[in-house]
Amino acid sequence: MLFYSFFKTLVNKEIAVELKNDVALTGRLHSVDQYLNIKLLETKVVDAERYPQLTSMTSVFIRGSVVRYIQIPKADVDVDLLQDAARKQNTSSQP
Amino acid sequence: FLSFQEGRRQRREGRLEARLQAPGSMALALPAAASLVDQLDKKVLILLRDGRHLVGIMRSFDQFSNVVLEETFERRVVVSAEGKHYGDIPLGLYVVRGDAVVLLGEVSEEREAGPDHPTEVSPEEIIALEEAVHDDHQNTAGPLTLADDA
Repeated sequence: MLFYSFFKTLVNKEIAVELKNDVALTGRLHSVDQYLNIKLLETKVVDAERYPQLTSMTSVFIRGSVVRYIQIPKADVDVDLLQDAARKQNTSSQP
Repeated sequence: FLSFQEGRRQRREGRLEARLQAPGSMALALPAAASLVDQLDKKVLILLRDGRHLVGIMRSFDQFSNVVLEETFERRVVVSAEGKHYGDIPLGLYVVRGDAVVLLGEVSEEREAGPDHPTEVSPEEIIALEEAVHDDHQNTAGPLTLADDA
């Protein structure tokens, strides 16, 4: 739930998504769900020469299970807040 | 299951029209929720874990990303010294299991016809091109497969 909430704060920001099959896409984050499925708008494929067939797509839905990395601009993240939230989540789940 | 129960209750109350829910109501429960509802009845391209591309009109989906695709074509792409080409092999009505899906993109026919997009050839031609290129190891299009345990 923590990262779902985190990604909700990044809606409308430009992000890059690298998938487990090595394809990388950039675009504006439109929405995210509890499985961390991602919907990107204004999608661009990073290595378009290698994957020409993907240039026909405008908005893209990416299944959460195939994501390797999500790259976000540093300015859009409050690292201390995130760290705090993670710490709270981990300590509160102890019996 | 909840919508099935709701349907049953409404059938019992004899309100047939109440069962016909607006497609947008599926995603309205959570405001910023990623949903495929905007792609319903649109032409989409699905990238599968085995590297195949399926193009078709998405008629329905569920929470597992299972998808029903009408007028499905397998889009094969060959990038070689002769340029970039693609061919669509007709497949019919498909149910795609969600765990095989990597991504699903809405196809813009404008972009399909654009200069950067590969040019369309007939199914027979693309298969012939594939074989020619396979023999010479000339296909420079990237492989898009995903390992089973990825």
